[in-house]
This record gives sequence, C-alpha cells and structure tokens, in this order.
Amino acid sequence: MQNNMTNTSKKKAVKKHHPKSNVHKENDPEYMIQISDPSMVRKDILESLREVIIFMQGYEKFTKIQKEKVTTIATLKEDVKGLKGLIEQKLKKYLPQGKLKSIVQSEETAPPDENRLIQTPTTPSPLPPRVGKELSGEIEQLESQLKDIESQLRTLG
Amino acid sequence: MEKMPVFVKVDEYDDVLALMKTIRHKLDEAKETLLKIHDLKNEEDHQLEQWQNTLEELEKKVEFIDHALSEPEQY
Repeated sequence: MQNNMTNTSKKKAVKKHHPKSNVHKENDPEYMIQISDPSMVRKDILESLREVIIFMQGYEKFTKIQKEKVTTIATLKEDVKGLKGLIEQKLKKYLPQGKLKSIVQSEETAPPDENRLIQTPTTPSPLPPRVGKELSGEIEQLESQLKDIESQLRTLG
Repeated sequence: MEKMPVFVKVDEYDDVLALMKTIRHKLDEAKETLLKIHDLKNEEDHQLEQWQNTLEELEKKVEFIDHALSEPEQY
C-alpha cells in the first residue's frame, strides 16, 4: 500500500512538473520509421529547396520585366500621342478641310450655307467637362474625337 | 465630282514633306517600342512556363518525400 501511495504521489509530482508533455507522449507514441533511401530523400529535399530559390529568383526577374513593360507601354503611349499631335495639329493645317462634297453640293443648292459648312470641321466639337479623374476625362475626350472622325468618314462615304 | 483634285502650295509642300518624314520617324519609333513590348511579353510567358515546370518538378519531389515519410517499408 505504501509503495502504491508513494508511486501515486511521485506520479502526481511528475504530472505537476510536465503535465502537457506527458499527455502528448501518451497520445503520440514515438515511431521509428525506416527510410529506404535516405540519401535520395535528402537529395530531393535539397533539390526542392534549390528549386524554390530559383522560383523566387524568377519572381524577381518577372517583376523587373513587368516594370520594364509598364515603362515601355508608357513610352508607346507618348509616341502615339506625339503622332496624334503631329497628324491632328500640323498635317491637318497643310491640307484642306474635308467635306468637299458637301461644299460643292451646297454651292449648287444653297450658297449662304457655305461658310457654315467650311467652318464646321475647323471648330472642334465641344468636349465633355472634366469630371473626376483625369483618365476618365481623357477617355471621354478620345471618344468624342472618335465620334467626330467617324461622322466625317461617313460623310466621305 | 466625288474625287476632286487637291492642290498644295509649293512653299508649304516642303514643310508637308518634312512633316511626313517626322511622322514616319515617329511611326518607326512606335513600331520599335511595340516590338520591345512584344519581346517583354514573350519573356514573361517564358518565365511563366519556367515557373510551371519548376512547380511540376517540385511537386514530384515533394510527393516522393511524402511517400518516403508516410509510407515506410515494412519488415
């Protein structure tokens, strides 16, 4: 009895010191697992690590490429803007205004309308007021210009 | 009547030609930039392909390790 008592008191004392570890040990007994080809497993782990690092390096490279692409796209946008400016502002000045057909017809039918018809292409279409962000305003401006050009093309046939 | 001839004054004609040259130059620049963007896109695609291959290799290795650890040989 005394032995039992002493044993239980010892167990209790032990439980007080490491209660969690004891429970853990009871639930999860230790296993010895044989790995048939440990060198191969080790090699695979190291290779996996190497590939993860290569992947991360690739990410850095990818980010760099993306940044460069964004910069190049901005350059292209500027180039196209410059082209648009050259064609719209400079080249248009050298060439006569469109709607010649309408002018000729108007000359035949109603001469007083001539001035109005000539002036219509020169006067730019009223742009929508800039609302909110600059980008949306730019898009609206482009849309209005596109509509204007399309209407001019329609008159040309 | 529909195809009316267009006349440009001679003194302005030189300017028009010069302007056309500038426009062509700008156009070439834009084409080069577009080619560069295309190359960068190809590089991106190549990189993505590499990632795909790397992940597939990684998956195989992890499967092998998992197999070796979770299904040990029994004697």
